[in-house]
Amino acid sequence: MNKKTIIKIALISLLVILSGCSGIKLPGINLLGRGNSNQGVIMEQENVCLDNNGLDIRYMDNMPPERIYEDDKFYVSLALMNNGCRNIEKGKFTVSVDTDSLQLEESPTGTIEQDISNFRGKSKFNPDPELRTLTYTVDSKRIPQDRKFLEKTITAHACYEYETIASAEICINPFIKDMFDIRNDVCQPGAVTLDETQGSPVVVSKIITKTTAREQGADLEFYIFVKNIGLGKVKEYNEGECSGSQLVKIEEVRFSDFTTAGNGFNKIACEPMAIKMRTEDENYVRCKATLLEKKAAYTTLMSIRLSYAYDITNTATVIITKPEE
Amino acid sequence: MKRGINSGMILFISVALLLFSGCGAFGGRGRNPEDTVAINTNFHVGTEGVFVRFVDEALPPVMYDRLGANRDEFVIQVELWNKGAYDTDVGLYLGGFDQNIIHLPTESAEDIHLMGRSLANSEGDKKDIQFPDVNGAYDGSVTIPQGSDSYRANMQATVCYEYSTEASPIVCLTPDPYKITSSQSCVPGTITGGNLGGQGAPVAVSSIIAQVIPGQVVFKILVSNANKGRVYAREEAQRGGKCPYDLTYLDMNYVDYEVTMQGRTVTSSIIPGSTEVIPNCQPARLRLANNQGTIFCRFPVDAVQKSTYETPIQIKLHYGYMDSINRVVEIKSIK
Repeated sequence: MNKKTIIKIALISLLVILSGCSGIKLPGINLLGRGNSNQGVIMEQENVCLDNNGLDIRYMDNMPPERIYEDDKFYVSLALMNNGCRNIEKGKFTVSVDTDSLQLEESPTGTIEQDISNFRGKSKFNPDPELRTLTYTVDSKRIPQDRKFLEKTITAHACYEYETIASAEICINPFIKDMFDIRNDVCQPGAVTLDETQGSPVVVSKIITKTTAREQGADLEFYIFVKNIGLGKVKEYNEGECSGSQLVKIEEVRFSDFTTAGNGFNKIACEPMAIKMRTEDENYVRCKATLLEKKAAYTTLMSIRLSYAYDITNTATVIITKPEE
Repeated sequence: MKRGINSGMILFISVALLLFSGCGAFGGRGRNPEDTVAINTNFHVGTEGVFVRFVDEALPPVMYDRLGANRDEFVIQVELWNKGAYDTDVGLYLGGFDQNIIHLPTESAEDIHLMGRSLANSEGDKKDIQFPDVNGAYDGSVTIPQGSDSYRANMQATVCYEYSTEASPIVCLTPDPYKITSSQSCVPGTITGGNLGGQGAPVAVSSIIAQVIPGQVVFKILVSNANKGRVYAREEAQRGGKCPYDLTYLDMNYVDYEVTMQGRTVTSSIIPGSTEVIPNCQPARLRLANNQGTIFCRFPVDAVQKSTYETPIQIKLHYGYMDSINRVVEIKSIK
């Protein structure tokens, strides 16, 4: 058998293999077009809401520098990034210095306030965070004669309104637990732990569903646990100020056609409609709903929308020294 | 010349190989026993009633919540196949999903009547039921709530139907159990397996033990649920009955029966009858425990007969049967 014949046989063998029924399948690709493939290939979208800090405040490299001389000028530059997945509709950013030793050129009071409203968050379609850079010129004052250096703090602080939108699969089963496995229920109510990648500093960490079966329908109870996992504190936003009370408002809880905004039969009642965060930054609220009819157990999505003010501070330290002799 | 023959041979072999390698090659018709074996005329075999399955092609494991003309529509096709030997009306119910997300009905709108296997219908009736149906109020569209990326529905199809089982074995009786003769035509005892006369239903008569005492015979009839579904009281199998969602433990595992021998029939009853009257069967209404139950029947033995003899006993069981299947479907939002 010469070389050409071997090549011919190899080619024919390849043809034979390729002409088989199922063809060669690669994930998401149907090479030979056989079978039902009307789904096409849809790219999986990655979760962009992995960051739990909301607004991130960072000092740019060497701005401020670690050491400065007295009677000098330097820059403080800050990068503000909304790393979360919600927009900041209202917010205020302040930078302040100790006026005994430092002076902000644009403010004799040592504090500059800036509006950070309409600050876009990440989204599937725009996964890069919005970035705003703020630069301030600072003058250092003379330090006392008897001191070789002074250590001073520059404080960047933001207070902003933010939201959390969380969603979890819960089980609605209007029947008492099927001890005898009569109905082969698809699910049982219980505790659901949520993935904390909700793109917000306050997350819904757990939902516990409890059912009390009634002759017609059932009473449902939901215990919604909320937790602050960001670097800041939950506050209340009042006219541009973050006040002391750590309140997370429940804007909406929804599943199927039940909602906190509903009336009558499809009402979810949460008591209270705001959760006061405890010292350990976690608390829960109990919500109730009533199913009027019995129907098969089913899984559904519960979505929860929370609103709150978030308060975050980032400081930088500068050492003011006398010029070297 | 030799080279020409070689090329021709290669071409011939390759064409032949290509032809043979197509769909179904090397496993062609006639190789499967079903294709060649003569039509089976014994329909009272097996332990299946109404077989239910999701038609795979209609229900991919992952769907997308798309808007506009290209949106995915949720179409569920459920195949029902009466593989047993009795005709029945079937209630088909869909559950496990939120109708606010997947806009599908939870019950088949049409009346489903399926003929069982018979001489005229050797396969039994098969029907594909589609959700949503063409005239229904639901359009099969999918809406994932805002803020959620995906929804995993555990689709469940449940069938409820009334079914029957018939077993008609030949039993051996003797008018005088103490009389030993050398020429007994049969010996009373236990009847199992193929000797039970075939059944073709999910609830089966698994064995019959005949014990002859002077003047009467006692049958111990063992009944079992031979398939994976649940048995319940047949009166709840009608449309509007409790099946599937309103069934409680009090409705479960009831099997009605009729036992006939030599023209005498004993029928199960909700009200217990007298145990003194012969023939009689106990319990008045059979209830399975752990999918098994036993009926004890006493019948008089024909005193006219002088020696052992064989006679048929007919056992009919009536019950409701419920079976369900599940399929997880994930819907992903691309909004």
